[in-house]
Amino acid sequence: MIRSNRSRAFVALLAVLALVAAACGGGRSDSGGDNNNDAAAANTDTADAEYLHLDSCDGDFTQGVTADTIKIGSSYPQSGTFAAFAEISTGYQAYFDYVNEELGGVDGHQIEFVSLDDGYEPGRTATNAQRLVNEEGVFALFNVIGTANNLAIWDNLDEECVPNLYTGTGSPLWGDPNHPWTIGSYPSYSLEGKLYADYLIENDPTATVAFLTQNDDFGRAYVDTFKQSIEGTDIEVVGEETYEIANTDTSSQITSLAATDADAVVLGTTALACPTTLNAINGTNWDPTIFISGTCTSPTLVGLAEPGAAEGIISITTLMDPRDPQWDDNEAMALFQEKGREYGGPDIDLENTIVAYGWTMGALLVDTLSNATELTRPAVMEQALNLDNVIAGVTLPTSPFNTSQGEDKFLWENVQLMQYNEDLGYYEFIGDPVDFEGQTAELAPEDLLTP
Amino acid sequence: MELFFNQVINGIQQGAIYAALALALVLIFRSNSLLNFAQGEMAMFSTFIAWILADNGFPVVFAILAAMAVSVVGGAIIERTLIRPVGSDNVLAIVIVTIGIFIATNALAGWIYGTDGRVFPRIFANESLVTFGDVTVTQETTGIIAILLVVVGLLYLLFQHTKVGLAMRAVSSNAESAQLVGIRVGRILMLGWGLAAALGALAGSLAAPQLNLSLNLMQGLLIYAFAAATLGGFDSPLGAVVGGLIVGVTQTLAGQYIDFFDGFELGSAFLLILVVLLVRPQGLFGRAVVTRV
Amino acid sequence: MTRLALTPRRVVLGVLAVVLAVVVLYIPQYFVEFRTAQFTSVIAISIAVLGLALLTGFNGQISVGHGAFFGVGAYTTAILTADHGWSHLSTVPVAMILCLAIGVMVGLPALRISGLYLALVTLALATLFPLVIQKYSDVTGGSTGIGVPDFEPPDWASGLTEDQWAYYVILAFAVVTFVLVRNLIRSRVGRAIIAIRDGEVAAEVLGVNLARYKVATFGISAMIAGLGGSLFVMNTAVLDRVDPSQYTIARSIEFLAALVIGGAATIMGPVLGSLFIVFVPEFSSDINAELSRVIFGGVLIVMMLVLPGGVLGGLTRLEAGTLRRLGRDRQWRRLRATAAEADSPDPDGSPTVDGAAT
Repeated sequence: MIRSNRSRAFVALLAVLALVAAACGGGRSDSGGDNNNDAAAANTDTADAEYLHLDSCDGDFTQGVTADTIKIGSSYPQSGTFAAFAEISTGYQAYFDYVNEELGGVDGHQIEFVSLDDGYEPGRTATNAQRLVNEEGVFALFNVIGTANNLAIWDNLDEECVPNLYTGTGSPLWGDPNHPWTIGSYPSYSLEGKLYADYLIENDPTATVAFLTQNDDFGRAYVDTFKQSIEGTDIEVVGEETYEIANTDTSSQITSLAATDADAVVLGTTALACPTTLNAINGTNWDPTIFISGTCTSPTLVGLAEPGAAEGIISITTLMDPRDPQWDDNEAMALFQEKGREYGGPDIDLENTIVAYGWTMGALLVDTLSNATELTRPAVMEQALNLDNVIAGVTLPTSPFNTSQGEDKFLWENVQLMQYNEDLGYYEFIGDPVDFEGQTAELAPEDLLTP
Repeated sequence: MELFFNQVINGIQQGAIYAALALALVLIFRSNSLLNFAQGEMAMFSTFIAWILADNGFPVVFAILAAMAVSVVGGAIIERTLIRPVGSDNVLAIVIVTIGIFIATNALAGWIYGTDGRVFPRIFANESLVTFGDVTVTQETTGIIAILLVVVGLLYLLFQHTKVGLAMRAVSSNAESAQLVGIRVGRILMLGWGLAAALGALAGSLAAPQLNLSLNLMQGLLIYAFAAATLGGFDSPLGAVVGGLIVGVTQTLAGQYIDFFDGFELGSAFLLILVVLLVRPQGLFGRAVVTRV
Repeated sequence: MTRLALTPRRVVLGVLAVVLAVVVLYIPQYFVEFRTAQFTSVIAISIAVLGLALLTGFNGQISVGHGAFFGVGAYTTAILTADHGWSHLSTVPVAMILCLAIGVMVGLPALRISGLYLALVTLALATLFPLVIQKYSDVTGGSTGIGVPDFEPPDWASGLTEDQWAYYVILAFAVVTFVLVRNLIRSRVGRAIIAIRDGEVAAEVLGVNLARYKVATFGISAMIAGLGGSLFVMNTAVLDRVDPSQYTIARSIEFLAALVIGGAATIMGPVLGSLFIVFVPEFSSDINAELSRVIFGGVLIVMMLVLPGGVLGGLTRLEAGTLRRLGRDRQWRRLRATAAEADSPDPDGSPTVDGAAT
């Protein structure tokens, strides 16, 4: 009996392997073979070549670029719990379509965009990145979402010298000079910690503060930077609570913090924990000043809070809010609204800052590709590492993109403090924009800078 | 001291929701003798149906009742097409099938309804009903518990004082004998699933205002609900409610006062399940099962 | 000892085995790096599923928590290599022993909990595992995880690339493990294990010490799953990090799915099932990301309804059915023969009995 099973099993195995081989193909080649790397390397000056370690690159510098197309790839959650992030892509897809249709693409190259679903799992992101580079033959990766997800791919991408542009996370890790081919986008979460601390020091120097943060590096970025920033002042931390990503009901933690009756609370929360926490605070007698993570501020999240729960929450932004009438006559905003509607279809939510972020990232990518000296990976990377007051998409006029190769890889360091006004339905600016140019690395606590 | 009472109230508030889902789990176990790992996801799916109705102008209570009615049908169909063919003896197959339903329902909900969270309209206001100093008991919590107790009462009436209930008890006790005395076993099994699905819809609709309706609604609750059902006794609806409240209070207090469980409250629920199954498997209110060898 | 006769069946089996061996050894030479790494993870996963097969398929104790043992093995290797400088292979025994111990610790209370309740408890365990990882984030790196040092080929194997080396090493482990488990199942111990599944009371009456066998099986099963996890992490060519998202309840469900898809109480079933759960979601996700999970759930359900014996079980039935239809089924022929003999007087005596036996 077992013998018969075994031969059946062998046959079945062989059949399945044959199927896989047919579907995936072989394609293993022994060496890199001829590529255009020498020519491209010659065009890069020595300092850049060294920083980008061009002599040890595995990949082909012009892969993904044909006479009239350029192929860009991304991996992000398109199914499962985190698929809400997929809405970012509606913004940049619309921008790419607009550029392809009306501007003839990037210097005559139509943008071909390929994306794969990773369900927010770093293991799948790793496989996807390899597929995109090796099977799909993309030129660069763009806006890959998730800190752990990017950590899973940045080593390989660096070895193969594939640009990993404008990752969709605000972790301070992306400033690492040992991975020159990865560059972030979001203003670092640690900047928020510093900003909120500074605000309190100025406006209520003897305030007591409580924290509710997610139990991981994201949440820790807020707490650690804040604490670092209040050293030597009279601000006192009187309560700290954490919650697990999976369990968004934070009412017990809030009850605990409410008992401290702190003057202010910093919410290092994201996704659905944002509205539930705001509701929980609203349900108590506690009335603190609420600082909330920039990731919570979109209408899709704040909109879920009870009436009154989100009133007056303070956060930061680097984007123009589509609902804010002060931008009604702004050219960039008008372009976003008009072309976003035209190329994004009837379902695109142009009031949503998540979509505005996507649009802006798309614009930044196109700007980078257009202004690179040539469409090769080293040249594009060099451009991304040397952005000089670039305004793209609907970024705030006071929040241009700035990077400086070898010194500062953080591109969005000018932030604006803002406060939510429920009656108006948008956020009002508090004070002047704050310029942290070049300071993110200094401000972030040591252990957050290395994975 | 005030913090203690506040946390107890918090625990009751969360426990009421565990109790609601536990009721559905208990009903399925009582009538069909199996654990349905997909109960939460089915409940979430039904809650979305209620949300759609409410969003289109129907009054909340009507929407919920309508969703419950749809769930009865849905549950019955699932039993007939997916569960019955597997047979009640093949435990592994039952586990796999219910897990498969879990995955498929969750993914289907994601595909149909999208992944954004939604606000679910409240039946009871999130305002205080009674206040002792700084400690508030909300209308919502009291309302949920009241509804659950009414359901428990109705289930009691069903099982003890109706022919249908008697038939259900007969089927779960000994399906073959029940068939021999003329009970339509198939119909009864379908009814069991249908009723449980309806209770799941109710549970979801009661939980959603507080937790916001999303794909994740029930996933964080499932283990707690199982703990509640285990503690109360898998064949006792009253046990489910009492168990739910106890589990709720236990996990909040454990998280507050025991360092180990701070941020790890699920561990306390797991410990509870383990202890009950080892020490008193029938739970607080269940009947001890004696297996003849 | 009699010499093995070269029956046609054995020849076919031998040829198939050789062909399969050649194909399997050729894979890393044929496929691109990341595909090879995918096959390597299939092998590591199939080891874990084999462990589950031993416990659930052959011993009847349902575990929806083997992802946790897998994770313990994985994190053990990750932490020892990353933070303490151990070499990769030296962490394997540690991972295995640790999982054996934990498996026994879980197996003891499992004696009193059975069937659906055991499934519930193991489900809860698997749900807790990522939370435990988060809780001790100082050691485990929390949700960001830990970077695992590359598993490089040693000097004597320098002709191989990183992914090829990992593939061959893990394949070697797998072959040894599968052979050992197969021998275990065929031995007296194995028969006792299976007897417990088929009827605890009867087994006990026949002298099988239930407690000892059940706990030991749990422990060994966990140990094998831990081995799988430890090897999984050494597949560093594509993924060189561990993080909790790889070891959630979804992983446990994946194992269970692989088990039943391949064939629950078979030795080769885990391999087939693992191939399925690694490659099919990728392809179906390309077609439609959200629907692919609906289909996955649907496949599980349909599998239980239509092919409860998994693909291998289904193939057995298919073969039996086809042979019967072609009239070449030995059983049928014997039956017909005995029927024919019954009609005409048989010079030799009574008709053979064995034809009607199986």
